[in-house]
Amino acid sequence: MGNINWLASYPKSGNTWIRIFLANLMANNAQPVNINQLQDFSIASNRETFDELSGLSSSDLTLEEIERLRPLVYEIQSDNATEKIFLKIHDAYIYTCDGIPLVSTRATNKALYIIRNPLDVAVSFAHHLGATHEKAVENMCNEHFAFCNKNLKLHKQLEQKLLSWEKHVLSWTSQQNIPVKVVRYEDLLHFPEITFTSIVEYFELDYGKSQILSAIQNSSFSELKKQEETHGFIEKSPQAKSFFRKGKAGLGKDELGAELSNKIIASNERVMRQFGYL
Amino acid sequence: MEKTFKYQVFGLNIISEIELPIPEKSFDTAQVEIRFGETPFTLGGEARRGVVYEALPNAVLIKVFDIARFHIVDGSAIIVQPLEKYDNKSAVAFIMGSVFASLLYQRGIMPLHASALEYKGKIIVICGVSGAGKSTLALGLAKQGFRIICDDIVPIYFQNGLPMASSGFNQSKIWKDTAAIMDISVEPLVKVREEIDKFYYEAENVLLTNEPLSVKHIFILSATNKENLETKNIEGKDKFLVLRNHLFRKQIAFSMGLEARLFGSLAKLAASVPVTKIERPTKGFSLEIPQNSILQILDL
Repeated sequence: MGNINWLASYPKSGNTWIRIFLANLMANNAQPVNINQLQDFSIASNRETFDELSGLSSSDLTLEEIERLRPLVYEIQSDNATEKIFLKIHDAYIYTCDGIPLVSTRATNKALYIIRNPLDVAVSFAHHLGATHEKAVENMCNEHFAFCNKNLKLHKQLEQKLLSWEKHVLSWTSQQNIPVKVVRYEDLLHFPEITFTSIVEYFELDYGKSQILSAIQNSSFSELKKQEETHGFIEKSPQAKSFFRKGKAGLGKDELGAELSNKIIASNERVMRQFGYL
Repeated sequence: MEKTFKYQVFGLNIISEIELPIPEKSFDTAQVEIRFGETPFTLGGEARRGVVYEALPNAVLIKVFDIARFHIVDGSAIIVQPLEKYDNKSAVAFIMGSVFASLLYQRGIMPLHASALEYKGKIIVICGVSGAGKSTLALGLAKQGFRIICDDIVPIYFQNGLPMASSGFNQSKIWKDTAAIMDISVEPLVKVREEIDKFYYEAENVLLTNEPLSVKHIFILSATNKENLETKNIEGKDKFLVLRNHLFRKQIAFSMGLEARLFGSLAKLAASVPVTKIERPTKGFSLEIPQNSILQILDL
């Protein structure tokens, strides 16, 4: 068993919120942590980490070569860690061309999968990409969708195969190699104490009720929005106007309109029913 | 006997059985040889390991898939063992990156992940992670009278206590999208590796010299999501930390047991050269703005 706790999700599903909650919890401070200093919660597709730990420049490697080395990078990362570490990941749970999981089983302690109503994800995703709702929905229904996979430029991050929204969810929640707990964004929003406490217990973190409540408070949507308005947020995509937008649930259907909502539902119905979104 | 090529780069005379994309030079005695040969399969239990490398204080073994194994020994030899899927271009790409960085560390030279340019006998260094835009910015400055001396790896060493650099591989490596932005046709250019849209490009204004040139200023270039370019002088402990972050393949060096020695060299570098951070907007990357800000800071 390894040292990496994965925080896995499709983009715009609450991953950053969980990371900021955990950062606040571990800082154990009355003051909220600075959202621009979350270095301890890096992303699995970070190019510099790959280059350093692999020993090769990813910019000299093909996408397939990078994918083949990534599980080994996580094993080194896990071996180097003296305690459990958290890594954010947007890749689907895929297998490399060598037939091994990208998310190395040996490097892994546990995974948390954060799921959000895809109708809300679509609106937030469009905002993040600086694209239309149509484009966001098209990406979410595309089984081959990936970030950073164009070969004619150097992307800031490594390629991330997201697949379609439904395939992404199933890839993580139906695999049998590593333990995974699923939390719903909507439950974090409506039942924060129970849901965040269940995450703390799942990762066997030694914090009590008052510390959890304080961390929930310090990572509240209004706090995050305030910090972003004052100092900006380094993780905001250059295309987006802001990272923290509305932080609400259930607005997607109206914002998308009937046609796009129906398109998402038609493509993702089974999983939407499974997780209570229909 | 294979045909050999002679190069002067990183302040070193190099004799090589593999052709590198830099001009040949003549000299009598080589300090480094690059040759084909047998390499060990492993450096043994004492070695510290990364994903593709093993390191001992005086030897590094880099294994790249079934393309090649590179054995870097005592700062004086790079032995290349071709494997089943060997191709020369790939071998050269890896030699010009992690392989040479390992050799420089063995020789006590500190490779920074940076581009460097010469102006009136002095060197400015532009550090940045992959994708920060350092090669592009260097190409822009080359049009302003600067001469490119290094792309990607800048060798720093000390002479009379002062930080110096000399030419590294000064062929720029540009991606197809950058070439389009800079109005450079990729048609006549050679690809770094066949499967990747990255090309060697020689700017009109380059300098290839083994002479030590004094380092005048270090810039740290990064791309951010901010609307406007921001510059900031870095002082104190941050200066050391930011330079440490830009050591090229520092994990290989640390695996070689060089952490303490590099600590000393970095502290010396931080104490003797001004360091300025340049944060450029990712969106709408314009060369002129960071270029002008460098010219302004250097008071040129």
